[in-house]
This record gives sequence, structure tokens and C-alpha cells, in this order.
Amino acid sequence: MMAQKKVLYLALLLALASLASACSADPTSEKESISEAEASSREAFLKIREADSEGGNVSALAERFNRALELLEEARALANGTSYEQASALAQEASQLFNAISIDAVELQKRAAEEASNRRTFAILSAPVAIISITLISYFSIMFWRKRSVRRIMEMKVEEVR
Amino acid sequence: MSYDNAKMRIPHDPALFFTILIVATMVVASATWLYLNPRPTEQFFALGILGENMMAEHYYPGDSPNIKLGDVVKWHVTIYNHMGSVQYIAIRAKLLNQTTPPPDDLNNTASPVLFFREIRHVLVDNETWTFPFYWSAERATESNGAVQIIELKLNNMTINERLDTTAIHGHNFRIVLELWTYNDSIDGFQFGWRAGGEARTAWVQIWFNITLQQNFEGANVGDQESILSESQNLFVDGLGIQTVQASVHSSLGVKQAVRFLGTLRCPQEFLLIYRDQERFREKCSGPKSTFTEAS
Repeated sequence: MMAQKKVLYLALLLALASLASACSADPTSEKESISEAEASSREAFLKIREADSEGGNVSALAERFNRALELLEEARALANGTSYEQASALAQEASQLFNAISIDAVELQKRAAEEASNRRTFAILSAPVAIISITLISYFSIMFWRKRSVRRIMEMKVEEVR
Repeated sequence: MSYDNAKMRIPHDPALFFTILIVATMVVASATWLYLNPRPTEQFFALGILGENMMAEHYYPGDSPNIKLGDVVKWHVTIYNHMGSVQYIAIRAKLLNQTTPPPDDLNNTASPVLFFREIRHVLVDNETWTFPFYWSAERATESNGAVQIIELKLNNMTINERLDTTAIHGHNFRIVLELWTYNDSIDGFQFGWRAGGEARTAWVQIWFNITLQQNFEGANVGDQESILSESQNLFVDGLGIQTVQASVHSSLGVKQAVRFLGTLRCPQEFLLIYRDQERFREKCSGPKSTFTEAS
């Protein structure tokens, strides 16, 4: 009796598992994965743009973004056929890449903002130093040149022209 | 007369000092301002199509705009980003004929025709991206003189949707490439871009004709030898029933068999009987496909 029950439970579990796998192969789930990846891509791009506007070097992020776009494109192509599971897997992979890019872009933005702030502070602080330095160097150079001119005149000897 | 060099003093010149101070302040302030606020450059994209050798020539196979079915047309598309920031762009490829409206530069509107392929990419500032755009018209139909491409292969991807455009006798088809950019305020792509408060667009097109003749060139001696290893009779239907004796290796595709036939002139839908029925149906099924097994 117990053995029969076990078999029954096992059969039930197998049926549920097959149902779950059938649902996962459903075209709607793969479409959802693609939509999700597209939403992630938009978010990732906005983060890249923010990092770029702060002056960060986003070349590496853009390259990774384009690789993820290729995966998404492949997922779309597969979705048009019948490889729903593969399409869904690729879309999810693309989504993960976009999410990772978003995180890295935020980090880059923070670093770039900090560097930009440091650059601004340095430029503002160094301006008065530069003004004073230029003024003093120029003034004393002119004064030295004047003194030299006077000295040259003083060292001149008067000679009779024959 | 002598003088004491060490005791010689030149009186200070406050007027000179302040003049230098003012000039230095102006120069340094200007330089700092320019460093902190760089001058905005003109914002634009450049979009172009290059031929097979990445130059503005050889746009068609054999330099003839009459393209046969199966001919691979090799273009290279280049996009240059001079917008001053990273940009997310999409190139939309559309198939038009002579009368379908192209994009409108004056009103900055895209062509109303649906795109058959969209290629997206992110470009950093001052970057040029070049990608291959290799395409071939694989299948076409003719009805009352109007030719319609029903299957296109682009970069090894088969496209058979959104190719509704027809052209009389296959003349004056054109592929239009439109540049779209991502706009976060609409959460989607817009045709062209905005620069200095103005909308701007970029698009390119290339005209061509489609001739309903299969390209049989390209089979080399090696192909023929392998094809010859197994024989089979083929019926070719479409231009009336013809019986063609051909030798086809069972592992080769239908296209290679057709290449071997060489002199065969196919209609827009050539019909072949092939031993491997599964493969045959994948490659050659069409609305007018009626096949008879060779006896």
C-alpha cells in the first residue's frame, strides 16, 4: 500500500515537473524575458550616459553593452522561430549583463564625479596662485631688466670722437 | 666717474605691478573658465554606405544594379558620432520602391514603410562604427508584372517578414537605412536627433533591380565531384514541366544541386524534387510548390 502511494506521489511530482517545464517553454515567458532585457538595456544605457556626462571613460562599458545587445538580438531571432527556451536563456543572460553594466556604470559615475570635482577644485584653487606667480615673475623680471639697462648706461665711458 | 653697483636701487613701480596683476588675472580667469566650461561643438551624426572594398564604389556584384536571386550584395555601413556624448542608436533597414515615400528631410519624418531589420548599437563620442550589411534576395514572386521579394538574407539571417514592397518588373527597388536615436523622454527611439533645439535626420538609400533568374555561378570543381558521387533524377516545374538529368549528392543542399545544373533557368520559384524530402521542404516550399517524384 505504502509502495503504491510512493509511486503515486512520484508520478504526481513528475507530472508537475513536466508541466513546469512546459510552462517554461511557453512563448510568453520568452517574450517576457526579452521585454525584461530591453528594459534593463534602457536602464543600463541611461546609467552609462550619466557616467559619460560626468567625464568618465565609458568605452569599455559601451563595448560590453554592445555584446549584450548582440545576445538580445540573437534571442529575438530565436524567439521568431520555435527555440523559446534558448531565446529565454539568452535574453536572461543579456539581462544579467545589462544589470552588471548598470552597477559598474554607477560606480564609474561616482568615480568620475569625484574626479571632476577634484579637477574643478584644483582649477579654482590654482588660479589665484597662477595669477600671483605670473604677476610677481613678470614684475621682477621687468625690474631686473630696468636695473640692467641703468647699469649698462652707468658703465658707459665717454670717449672723444675723432 | 664711478658708482656703487650694490647700492644702486631702482624705485618700485606700483602702476606697473597693478597693470601686470590685472592682465594676469584676466588671462588666468579666461583660461580657467574655458577649462571648466569647454566650448560646445557642433553636434551631428554621419551615416554612409560603402561598397565591397570599404570604398564608395562596387556597390553591386559585377557593378551591375541588376541583382539576381542569390547574388550576395556586400555593403558596409558607417556611422560617426559627433554628438559630444555617448549615444544609443538604431539603424532601421526598409525596402522601398520608386513610389513609396522615403524619409522626409523637411519635416524630419521617417518613411512610413515598416523596417525589416533593426540594428542597435551604442557609440561613444567621436567613434566611428562600421558593420557589414551583406544581403541577398533569396526568393521573389511575380504577379502581373509586379515583383515582390519574399525572402531576404541579411548577414546570414533569413528575413521573410515586412517585405511587402513590390516593383514593376523588379525595377527600382531601394533599400533605405534610417538613423534612429534613443530618447529617454519618450522611452524609445526617435527618427534622427535633436541638436541645438533643432531636429535633424540622417538616412541613405541605394537603388537596385531584381531579376528573376537564379545565380548558378560559384560551384567549383570540388563541388561537382562531390555532387557526382550519387545520381538522381530531378523534375523541374515552373516554366512548364521539364525533366532534367542531374547528379546530386544526398548530403548537399538543393542550392548546390541547382548550381551544378548550370544551364537551368529557373522561374521565380524553381521547383525541384530532391531525395531528402525533409530538406527539400525546408528550402523550397512555396505557395506554388507542386512536386512530382521522379520515377
